[in-house]
Amino acid sequence: MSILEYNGGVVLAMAGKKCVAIASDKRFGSNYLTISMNFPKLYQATDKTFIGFSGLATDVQTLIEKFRFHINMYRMNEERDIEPNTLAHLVSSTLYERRFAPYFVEPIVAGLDKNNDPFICGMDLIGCTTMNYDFSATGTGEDQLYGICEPLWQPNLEPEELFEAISQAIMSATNRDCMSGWGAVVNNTRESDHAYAEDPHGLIGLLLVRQINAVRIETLHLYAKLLTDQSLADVSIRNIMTVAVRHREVFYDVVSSCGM
Amino acid sequence: MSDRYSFSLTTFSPSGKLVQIEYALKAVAQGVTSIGIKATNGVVIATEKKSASSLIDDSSLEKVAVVCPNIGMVYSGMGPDFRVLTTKARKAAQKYKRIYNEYPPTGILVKEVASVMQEFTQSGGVRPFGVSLLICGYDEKGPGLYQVDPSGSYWAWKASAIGKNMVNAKTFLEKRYNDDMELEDAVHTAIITLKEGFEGEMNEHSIEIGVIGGGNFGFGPGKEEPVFKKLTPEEIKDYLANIV
Repeated sequence: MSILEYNGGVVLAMAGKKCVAIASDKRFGSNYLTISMNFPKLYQATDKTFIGFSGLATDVQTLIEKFRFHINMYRMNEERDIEPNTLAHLVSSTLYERRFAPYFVEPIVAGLDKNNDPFICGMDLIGCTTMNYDFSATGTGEDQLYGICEPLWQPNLEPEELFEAISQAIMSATNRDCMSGWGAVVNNTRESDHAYAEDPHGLIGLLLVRQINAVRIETLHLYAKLLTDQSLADVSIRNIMTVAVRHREVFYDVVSSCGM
Repeated sequence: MSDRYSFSLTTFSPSGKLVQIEYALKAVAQGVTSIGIKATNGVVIATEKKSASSLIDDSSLEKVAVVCPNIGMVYSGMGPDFRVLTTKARKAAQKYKRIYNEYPPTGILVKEVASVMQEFTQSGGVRPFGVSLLICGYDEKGPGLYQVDPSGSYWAWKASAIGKNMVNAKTFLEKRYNDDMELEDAVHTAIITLKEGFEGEMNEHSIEIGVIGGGNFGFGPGKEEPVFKKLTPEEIKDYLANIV
């Protein structure tokens, strides 16, 4: 097994219409042993950009600190936030500096540029950049991710649709990869709000509920109906997800009342 | 009294000065005049190209230097010191590009050059640079003109002059400058300011002018990114023809 696969984990990023989303799983393991189920691999660099690192966990942590240093120095020197394409090159040069003793990570940079157009860039461990216009995936479940992204992604997805697509993709792919999973963290940013909407427990709760027990879906349906005041037939999984995101506090109640 | 402290750069005099820097500024004041003017849509820098003899092939002499596509600089003072600083500035710009894949904004490059000049005021066995620089650039913040002194201090200017005739030239500029000036007017103003203190005949071969911006250059949709370029002798001749 390669050292890049030792701790396990995946990162996925997708581009939509004036919005971008990046997601990672939450598993941290030591070969077959799972040590933590709450180890997200995303770092918010600026209001509008994120970096996700898959690979060896110690390098993930160290590089998050290293890039925090670089990004803060940049912000103080240039009196502005770093753009996503500039950040991608910074990450690439930092990795290439260690060409013959590399950091064992494969990062993805995702963000909105100054015109709020989405930018995604995946990299290998020595800094080779690939700027995809649609989606980018790295980690132990990379193959599975590319497989599920291809049919799920369409051009010009709205923020809510993008959120659903990326969530479905990462949950399905991590289910087929033993080295990653235990939920996902999705950070997305859109033109209208430059703060990310983190939904760690809402999403994991919802999708775990779907897998574990169909009955609990009924409870969610009822809840959604109450919150959105729609007739039961109209309430779809997508509405539930949107509702769950917006009403995380309420959703926690539902989850706890389901006895999870 | 200050003689005792004038030989060592790294020793303060009792009056709180670094005398070597004062002397460096005197060297600058003996150099030919250089002008810089910032317009709403660009910046112009200009200098006299005085050759000691008519036998000198002045096409090989470069006083206005390109640092990177969006930044240029000119000097007053010692030519060889300027060459060293140009090389350092160009290297700093390329180093930035290797990391970030874009050229540095003007302010960032100016800080780099200024910190190099400051190093030479606080190290052993070196002397300060005998030049003042006028660095001009156009980045996303807009056009910028900066002066850097031998001490390493720098300021942003709307319009400035350095060198032999700087006092008169700055007075002249204070009268002539207005905030709404466009690049064409700025070039014109720079030439007549130079002419004020010019010794000898001013023609297209005895002055050097560099511009960035103007026209349809800028940042935003439908605009080209501004590029620093030196005016050719023909273009300078056209401007000179417009001056009575």
